[in-house]
Amino acid sequence: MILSETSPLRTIIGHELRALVREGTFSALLGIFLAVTLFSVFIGWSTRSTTLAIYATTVATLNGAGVSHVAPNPLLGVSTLAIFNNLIIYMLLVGALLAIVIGHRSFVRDRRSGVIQLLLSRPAGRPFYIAGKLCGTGIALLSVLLGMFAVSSASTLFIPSLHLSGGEFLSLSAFYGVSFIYLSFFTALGLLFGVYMPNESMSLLLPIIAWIAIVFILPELSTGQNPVALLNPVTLAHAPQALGTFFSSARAILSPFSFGQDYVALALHFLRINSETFNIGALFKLAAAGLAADAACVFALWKYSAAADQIL
Amino acid sequence: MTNPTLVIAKKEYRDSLRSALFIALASFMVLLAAVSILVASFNFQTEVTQYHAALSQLTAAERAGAVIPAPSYYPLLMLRGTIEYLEIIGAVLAIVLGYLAVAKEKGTNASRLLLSRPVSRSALVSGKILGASLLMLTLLVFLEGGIVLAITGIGQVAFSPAELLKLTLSFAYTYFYLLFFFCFSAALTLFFKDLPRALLFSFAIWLVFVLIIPQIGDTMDPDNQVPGGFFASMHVTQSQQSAVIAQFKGYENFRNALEVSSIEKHYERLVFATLGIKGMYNDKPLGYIMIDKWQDLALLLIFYAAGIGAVFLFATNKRIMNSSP
Amino acid sequence: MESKQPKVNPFAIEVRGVTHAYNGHKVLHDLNLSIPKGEIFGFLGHNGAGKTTTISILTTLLRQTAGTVRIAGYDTLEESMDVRKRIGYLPENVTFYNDLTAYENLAYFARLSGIKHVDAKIDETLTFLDFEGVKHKKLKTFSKGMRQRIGIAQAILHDPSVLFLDEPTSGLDPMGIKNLRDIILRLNRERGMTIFMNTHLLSEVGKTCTSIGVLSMGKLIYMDTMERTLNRFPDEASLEGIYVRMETAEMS
Repeated sequence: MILSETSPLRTIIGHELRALVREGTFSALLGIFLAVTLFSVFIGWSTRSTTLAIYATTVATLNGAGVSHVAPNPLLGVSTLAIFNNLIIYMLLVGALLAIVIGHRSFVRDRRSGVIQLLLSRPAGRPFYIAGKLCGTGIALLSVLLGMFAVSSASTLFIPSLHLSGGEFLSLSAFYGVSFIYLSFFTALGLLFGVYMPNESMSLLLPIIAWIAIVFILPELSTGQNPVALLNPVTLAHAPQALGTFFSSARAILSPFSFGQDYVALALHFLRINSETFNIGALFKLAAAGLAADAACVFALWKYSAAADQIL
Repeated sequence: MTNPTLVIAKKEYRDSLRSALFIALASFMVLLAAVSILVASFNFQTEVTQYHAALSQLTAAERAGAVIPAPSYYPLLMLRGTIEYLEIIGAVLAIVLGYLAVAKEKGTNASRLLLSRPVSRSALVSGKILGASLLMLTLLVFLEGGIVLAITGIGQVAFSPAELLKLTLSFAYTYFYLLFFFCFSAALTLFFKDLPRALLFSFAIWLVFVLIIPQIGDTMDPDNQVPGGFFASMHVTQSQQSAVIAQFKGYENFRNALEVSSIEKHYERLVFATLGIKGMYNDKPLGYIMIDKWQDLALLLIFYAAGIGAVFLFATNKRIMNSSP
Repeated sequence: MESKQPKVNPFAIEVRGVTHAYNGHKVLHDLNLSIPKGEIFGFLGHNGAGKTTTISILTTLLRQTAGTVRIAGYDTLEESMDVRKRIGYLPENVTFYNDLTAYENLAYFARLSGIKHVDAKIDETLTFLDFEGVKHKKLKTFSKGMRQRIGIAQAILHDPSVLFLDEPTSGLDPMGIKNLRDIILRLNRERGMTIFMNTHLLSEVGKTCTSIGVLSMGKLIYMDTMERTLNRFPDEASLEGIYVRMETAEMS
């Protein structure tokens, strides 16, 4: 059995997770992430209840001023799930950084300690090592997201005004699913640079720069929005697309790489902030990016030569 | 030249100019500045086209009496994207420089060679900070010169002396902002024993203070809850809006406290006001803007001073050498 | 940087009651050393005995918890800048700025040592070390032995009166070790430098040093001239025997 007690795959995955948990860096970032999840629920809830209270006060003020016909509450049609809108940004930012660290540490740990040669000389061999690395990092990422999912759904149980219906709960799960697909690209990116760069700091820095490019630079080039436009989900959901041939051709060229926007569009859909942004093509694009990065990792690990490695 | 601070500053400056990483990041920054100005110009052009289309529609409908305001061109407003990139990528560049300034010696015996010279630690730290300052000023002067040339050359719009002064002042603020991040990551790199971990934590904190906190403040704004603005959708007047907001002081204070904790917000408020990107300051005299924004300027300078202080505080022999028993 | 009048003192290195503790854990216990000018002193001890801690204190890189140290008559805590002007230091496994050339590396350290005529001094030093050809090569192309020679060059550029070497032969091949030994002897004879050398290679001590000290678990358990040491232990075939005998006597 491939995952039996003595299977090399299981050993490698188990080791991967144990090593990650014992490293202060990962635990610290995970702590930050869970705290941020909790905080975002608080922010979302307090913003929503304050806005509702402001609506009531505004209505009273307008009535006092003699205005009898007041516009209906603009928040009326907005789903409770929208209070999680900050989570999109955290996935986009903190989540990506955490995912890069998971992937990066995974290989650099073996490389820096010099055990890579010992591992690759075992009878289990390279295919198991590669499979173990990919599964191990995937499971680590999944556990982080499950932790966040637990925190966010538990928080809705404790705040009575934040009741989620069965459908909304499913939508929230779908949001985490899409987040997993998006983040797995960055895990693979971290692993990939960990294999190729001779210098450890550089191998951490470059995927971070790639991530900055995906999140802040490509959106401006392809839509003409400001660099931080992706950071405000409410206005982004209704942002007009820039006109002109420059942007339409830039959009066409950069489209395969600018999946940060696709992730945000899908997330906005699943958190029911903007239902018009769902696009099955975007989902395929996210998945394709993740799979391509994974394939690159398999290739890099397959070709990796410990003897030629300068870091050892 | 035997003044040790100058010797060290000169070496730091030259080291960075030779570093492929610095050159790559700096060119990237320049490229992004160029792109963002280009994008802003395209957007403005689109606005003008739409204006003319609307105008001819009105003329065709024989409603010549109706007046729609023509979009007015302020060259400084084209810089919004550039400033946002300086906030994000500029800070990353400064973090990388701060990291390298310490990491090139820390943990290697080069730190021992350096510390056993007749050079005081304060001269050493001052030299590193001076080198980085000169480097950033070079980059900013280059960037500002490029922006002025691009806008006057391509856009055929001349800057007025007042606009040039505002632009220069904004870049001076940018220096303080960037040097804070340099010092901040240098201090963290001195603090942590493990270098990659120091880099990671610098980025994590950058993330929180440059991207997350300002964004929280933004999404917590009740007016931002509805596209087009909550109050606009309610058709309330400005005074009614102020009266309503006044009843939610606690919430507004909390939102403001979050924003105030981030240097990025002070920098942004200051520069957006100076350049007139924040609408209410557009075309206002510099003196008025400076008086109105003195708190943000003071806090920017306090962050800057605190960053420098942290580097001096952490630059002990033990941390520079990364020695353990 | 004004130099004070040289202090008249027969000792190049004087260590009085030096104790050092890291986080409450004592690594040096009441160390006393007096090394006259012109000596080549070999400081022996196993790994972790406290040799590098000692050299760090002597070179002003580390402040001792208690006791006083004077180098060329100057106190390492009170007059650290005066001490630094008079010492040269080569750490173990020396590293430089790899992207700079040998000349650029040396010029940097020369300027920081306050040398006025940098180019002339570098040429003079490289000629002394018989190493002129590599001046404009980047350090990253250097072998371990070449690096070590540049390490010596940066340590002697400013004509220090006391030279500290931490495990100078570590990682060198036999030819490299011989070259280094010759340089050490010439610096001592031709330039009158006092040399303090940490090592755990006993064979080297016998060939270069004029006196030795043995450190064990942070305590100085032996110190004498090389000549008297060899006389005192005539029955031992090699220095290793002496070392083992002293260490085991101390441990029991």
